Amino acid sequence: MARCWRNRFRDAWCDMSNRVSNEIKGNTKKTGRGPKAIIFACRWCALIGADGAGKNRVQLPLNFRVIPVECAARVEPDSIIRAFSYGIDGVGVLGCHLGGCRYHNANHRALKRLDLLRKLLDTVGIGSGRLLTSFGTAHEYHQFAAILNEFFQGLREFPPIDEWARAQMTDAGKG
Amino acid sequence: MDSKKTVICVLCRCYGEISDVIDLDSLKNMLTDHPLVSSAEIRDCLCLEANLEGLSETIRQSGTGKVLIAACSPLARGDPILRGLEQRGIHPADLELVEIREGCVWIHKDNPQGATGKAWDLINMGLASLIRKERSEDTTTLVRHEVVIVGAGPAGLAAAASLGQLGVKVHLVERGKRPGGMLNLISKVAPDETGPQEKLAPYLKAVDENTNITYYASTHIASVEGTVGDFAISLQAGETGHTIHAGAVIVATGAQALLPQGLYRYKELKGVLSAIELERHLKAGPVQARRIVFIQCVAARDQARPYCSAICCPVSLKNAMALRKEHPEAEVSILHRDIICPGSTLEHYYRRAMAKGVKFIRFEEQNPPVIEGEDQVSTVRVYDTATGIMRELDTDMVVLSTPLAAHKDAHGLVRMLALTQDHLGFFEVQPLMHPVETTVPGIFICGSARWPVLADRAITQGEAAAMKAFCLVSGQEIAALGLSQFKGEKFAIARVDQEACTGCGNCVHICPYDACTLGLVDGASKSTVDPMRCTGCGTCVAVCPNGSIQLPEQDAVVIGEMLAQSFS
Repeated sequence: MARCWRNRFRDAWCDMSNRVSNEIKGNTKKTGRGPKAIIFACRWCALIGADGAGKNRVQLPLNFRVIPVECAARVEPDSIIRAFSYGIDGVGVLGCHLGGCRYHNANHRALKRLDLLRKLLDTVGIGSGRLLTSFGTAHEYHQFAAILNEFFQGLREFPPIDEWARAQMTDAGKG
Repeated sequence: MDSKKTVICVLCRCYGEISDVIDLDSLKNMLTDHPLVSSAEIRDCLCLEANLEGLSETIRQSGTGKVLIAACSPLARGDPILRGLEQRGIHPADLELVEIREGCVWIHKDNPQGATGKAWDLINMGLASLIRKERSEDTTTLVRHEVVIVGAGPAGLAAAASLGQLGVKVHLVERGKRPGGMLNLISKVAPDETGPQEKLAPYLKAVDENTNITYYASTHIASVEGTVGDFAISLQAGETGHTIHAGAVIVATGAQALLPQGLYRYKELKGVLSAIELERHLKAGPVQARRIVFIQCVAARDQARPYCSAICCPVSLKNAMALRKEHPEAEVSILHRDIICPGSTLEHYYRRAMAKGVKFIRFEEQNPPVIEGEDQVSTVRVYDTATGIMRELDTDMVVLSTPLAAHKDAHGLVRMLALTQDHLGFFEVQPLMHPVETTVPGIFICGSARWPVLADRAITQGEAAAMKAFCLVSGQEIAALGLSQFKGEKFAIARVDQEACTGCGNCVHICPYDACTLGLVDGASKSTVDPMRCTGCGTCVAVCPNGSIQLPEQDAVVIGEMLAQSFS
């Protein structure tokens, strides 16, 4: 059972990577839609904010998708990097305020980990501005909407990430 | 992998709330062609009980199992829909709810075409999650209807008395000889000024008379094993030791009075006492001194101990009034940085002390009082911030009010029970509205072990902890999934792939609940998860270097697939 599960995990992971990179190669021309963003929203805080935004009929930028997670600490840096590799321009991780985590002090750990990831993103050139981390600031619908709008405004300053990646590859080819 | 068409998709029209904006019919057509979907249908208002009945009937007839529901948010009517279907016998792992109302339709009303595209992506993300997600295995454990209470101070005694009265078998473990804890050291209990024995009498009587309560004097806890429902606790009394079993543990170990070593010429001059020494004098008989000065906030509310101990002000008020009562001509002054007496009872107490002629002088932290005298204290010089005058108070006795501090040897118990301490050494409880529950299920904290409290509050907290423990041990068995400390059911229980685990220990280090432990499995170091302790937060998942620890409900592949589908 265990072995099977692991193989399944690995196969699925590779399968997913190949498929998506082929898809991305297939439609690299698909730009001009504005930035795309994934928001990992903590079930106890930001998800309630997102829900409230819906209830209050706040009109938000179209190109974001929310993935509910149990805690902001559950979001592994791999997933964030993976999102960038899929051509998603920005990733947000929204959790509860520090000291108010439902899971004791889990979000402190998330904060530290994501701060390290920021450094990594700056080092490799993706830019830490593409990663939004915010704790305890998106519980109310207007806060969620404001954070999202601000994030999208910031993302518009960046080139689309697939264009950026192509440029990198071309540069590397020249070098 | 899953090329079979197994999923039934149900799109809710929500009386036009959804279907007026997005094109549900085209979504339905696209879904019918989807490789995973066996059938797709549009229904109206799933949340109505009658519609739910029809839906569950359709699902049962189709026999394929997995169902994707695109409707409103779980916080609106989504959760009741899922619960309703679960009650009708559909496994929760086979259900997925996609919120296309709050999460899409209502926030993109001005762009119907974009909203339809987004809804399609959201449904695809839901499908990706639905075909992969599993359900955590639930385990149950039988509960012992017994509780161990560590410490027989006011909190522990009150907890024991309440539980004994409810018919729960109680083991009350005290490392000293006598029950009563800190109340044994003091003359009167603030603020109601009853004698300590009087205060404890009903609880001591219960401990004596109730056959459910066993009292272990001069006994230490040597080790704690097991988990909620069945803790095995080894007791050590002198040379002899034995083991008791319990379903829950209440920690009521209290705190200790700090001695003002090296401050205000304590131990250097005669007549400079700590508050706890004054209690001993008052207990022994009348105090001879006629001019007494109390100094508050000694070694408290400073950089090293930036907290208010909350008991020193009422205690000093009580002692000041007692001294004035013994000798009405006595001059009693309290030098304070602020008198902190919250609540109507304590505020009244403060006013009473003023009316009884106790003098109050406020000083600043930067400008503390100076004690003068040779061999015996003679004068206290203090800068009075209210008048700006340097005052000289002739005095025979100076009482230094020191805070309660955490027991220095508390860490032994902390390690045995896998609890957490704050930076001052007090036991930590669960954040947010869980005043007596710790991060470990089945272990409760009350009284000054958690934070300095007056005897009355310790008793209240002891009773609160007793009720929480009673809720836990009164059942027959506990299910790991149901053992959530703040909601109905856990989201998941982390699962370790024993073959892939390399035993690095990252998860052990990071788990906020100490649920992961490393142990030897076939000679190799592997991590295991205690299902009772795990809360399903997923912190361990994020630090596992090879993804061998996962939440079955939402593993890394599910997240990856959702990301891949997010802008398809």
